[in-house]
Amino acid sequence: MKQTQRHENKQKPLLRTAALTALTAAVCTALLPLCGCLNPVSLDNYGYVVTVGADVGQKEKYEVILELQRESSNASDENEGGAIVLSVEAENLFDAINKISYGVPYELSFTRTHIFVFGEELARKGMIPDFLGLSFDTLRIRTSAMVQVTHCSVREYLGGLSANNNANLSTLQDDIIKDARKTGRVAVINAARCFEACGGGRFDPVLPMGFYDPKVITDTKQKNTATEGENPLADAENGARLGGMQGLTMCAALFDGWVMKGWLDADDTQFMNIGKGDFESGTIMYDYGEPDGAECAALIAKLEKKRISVNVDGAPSAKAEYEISLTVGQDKSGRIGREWRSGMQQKLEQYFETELARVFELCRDCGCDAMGFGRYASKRFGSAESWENLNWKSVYPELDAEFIVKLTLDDEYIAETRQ
Amino acid sequence: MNLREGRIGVREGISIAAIAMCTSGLFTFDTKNTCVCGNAAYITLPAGGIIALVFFIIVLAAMRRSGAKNLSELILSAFGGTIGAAVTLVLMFCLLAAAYSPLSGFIQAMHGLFFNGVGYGKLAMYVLPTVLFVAWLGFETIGRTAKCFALLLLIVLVVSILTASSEFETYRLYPFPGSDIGLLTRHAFSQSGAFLPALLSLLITCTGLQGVHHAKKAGVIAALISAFVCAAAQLAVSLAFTYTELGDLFMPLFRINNLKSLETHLLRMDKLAHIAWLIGGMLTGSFYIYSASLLFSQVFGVRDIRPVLSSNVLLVGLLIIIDFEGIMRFLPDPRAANAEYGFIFIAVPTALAAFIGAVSAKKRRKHS
Repeated sequence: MKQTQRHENKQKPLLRTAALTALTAAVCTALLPLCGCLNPVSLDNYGYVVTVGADVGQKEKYEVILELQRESSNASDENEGGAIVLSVEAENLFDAINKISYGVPYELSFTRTHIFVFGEELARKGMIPDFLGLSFDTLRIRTSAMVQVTHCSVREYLGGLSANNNANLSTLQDDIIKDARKTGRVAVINAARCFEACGGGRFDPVLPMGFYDPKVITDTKQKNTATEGENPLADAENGARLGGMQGLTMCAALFDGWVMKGWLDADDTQFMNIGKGDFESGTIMYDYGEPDGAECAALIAKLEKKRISVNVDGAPSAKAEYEISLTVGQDKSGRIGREWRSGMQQKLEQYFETELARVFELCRDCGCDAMGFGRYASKRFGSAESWENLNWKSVYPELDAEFIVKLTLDDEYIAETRQ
Repeated sequence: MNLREGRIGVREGISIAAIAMCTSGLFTFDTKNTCVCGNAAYITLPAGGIIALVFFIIVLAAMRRSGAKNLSELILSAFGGTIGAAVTLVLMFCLLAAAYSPLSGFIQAMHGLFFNGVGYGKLAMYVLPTVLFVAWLGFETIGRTAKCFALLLLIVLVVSILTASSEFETYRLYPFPGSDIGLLTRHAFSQSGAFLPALLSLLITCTGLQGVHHAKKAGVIAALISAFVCAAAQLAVSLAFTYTELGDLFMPLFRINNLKSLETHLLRMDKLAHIAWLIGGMLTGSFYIYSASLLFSQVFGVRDIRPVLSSNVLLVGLLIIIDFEGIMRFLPDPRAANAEYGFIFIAVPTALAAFIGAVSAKKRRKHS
């Protein structure tokens, strides 16, 4: 009897553990339906929209252009991949989806949408917020989707991107971000930050620009014609770019709120990015100022530190200090290394400061706080009410900015000896 | 008696209380009211946690003084049967409202982010039976399940914040409404409402926690952990969104991973994070509903908690349906109202019970 009692006592904790394990398993099983689909649809039934483009329409408000990823049906077929471009005139994106849906044998899915592209005319008319006033949640679009403007028509730009049959269009967004990090010659912004800029009024959006170069002999054309015995490279116009895509992304479109006011070229974009603090590294060409630009140096710059303060008591003023390290990539004369301590450092610092001030004035004249001085101005306020009463956008045109650049040469020996 | 209290240790108590406090602090947080004057939730929310903790310790001291083993005994000894029943009903409805807030929020988020086109009612039918199932199995199951998930939820929160960390900027913390101490204090008191229901539930479930002493230990540790976690998470949210954006965002923590453009392996894990947080929300719902049912059963002398549990889950379901169907649209937003004034309805009756209970105990001792 006692033995049976002891055996039962031993069994109790075991039973309890087993019961608890079973309970946990039951809870997890009960939760499982929440991890799946309530309305399952096969992947083949979807057409994944990678890029949403919009231009001013002829008959309706917008010409909506959707670029879809073409899924490769056979891994060994190198010609597969690339994009399908669909276009329709519509009042808004939902209207476009309705109209496009009639003519495609799949359901449009926006879960992979990573870029919104707008034509310059549409951007200058301030129509972007009207188009972007859609529910991102309803279409499952992430607010991390980038926003950009095209100097050409959106149709040309997207056609230029897809003519190269890139296997995976989704990499384009990553590629633009990486370009911005490595060269600083393109501005980058996503939808979330556009909304922050235009809603919060502490800075203005600066969007990347898309261009179309029809003279580019694309990689696909090279490959296709080579088998037919033609030589498109030799037949190409002198000076034409060979290889790559016909759609190019660079520079920076300047916005005053949601209205595009102008744009900076790639060199000015580098200085705008330095001023904003978004510049990581990039090659800056320094012209010695000789006739016809006979001598130029390639300086690989890296933004190390920035200190910005804005004073709004009285006349608004800003003081922006930057520490930039330089590596000399190319300097035929070797003057930068040789004369670094005897005036070259000051000369280059002055060059950077002048360029920064010039680009700042270009942006300010467009009413665009591209360098985001409003972000620093807001730090001086102890209440939302006093900050909102300031109305930064009305103060910004009066802003006077002083730029101070401190340069360091990463390796004087290399600069001097050019090794 | 079938009150399904079971017995759990301090760790299980800490787990469930911390999950409940963090869920309430991070997901039922009313950004519209709080951020209208600036971005300081990372200070006011932990301050609210400390206020709630002080309140909890005072009530526990009163319980000890009056010899009450749990909150129901304190209420009955302080108010007697009739008023005690009314106070119990008020506290029970506060706990049900505290359960309703995260559950309705999560259902709304699921509808917006995953299952658009699927009705709220259908989604509620996935969530509420699970809540009832866990609550039905009793306090021990709730505590032990919470212990299983506590670390997972913390890891998910940390990973989500770290994934978005490259998007953080300090200027978004400004303008900091530090000059208005009165406003900050008012927010801190309102936000103590995120911590009070969990601490109140610990007071109700003292027996399951093996006594007042263990309940105190669990409550203090859980409140401190939650205050820290809420402060860190709210700071991250404040670094990611400006106060003007936060005013328009529903459950901003759900959006934090939608900011980063560069694809990473972790970027699209946010859906899994949402599911993990939903599990936390359901555990919180079960905990509050169980505590409300236990309080009701103890005060009204109901011997079996299960019918009370079922009724309370139905009540919460009803609140959710009323909210989503827009039946009571003429009333103010119930979630916002609960976040703003919920703490008053918990703090005032409990404080009165503690005060009267302690005074009457002193009198009883004098007479004897």
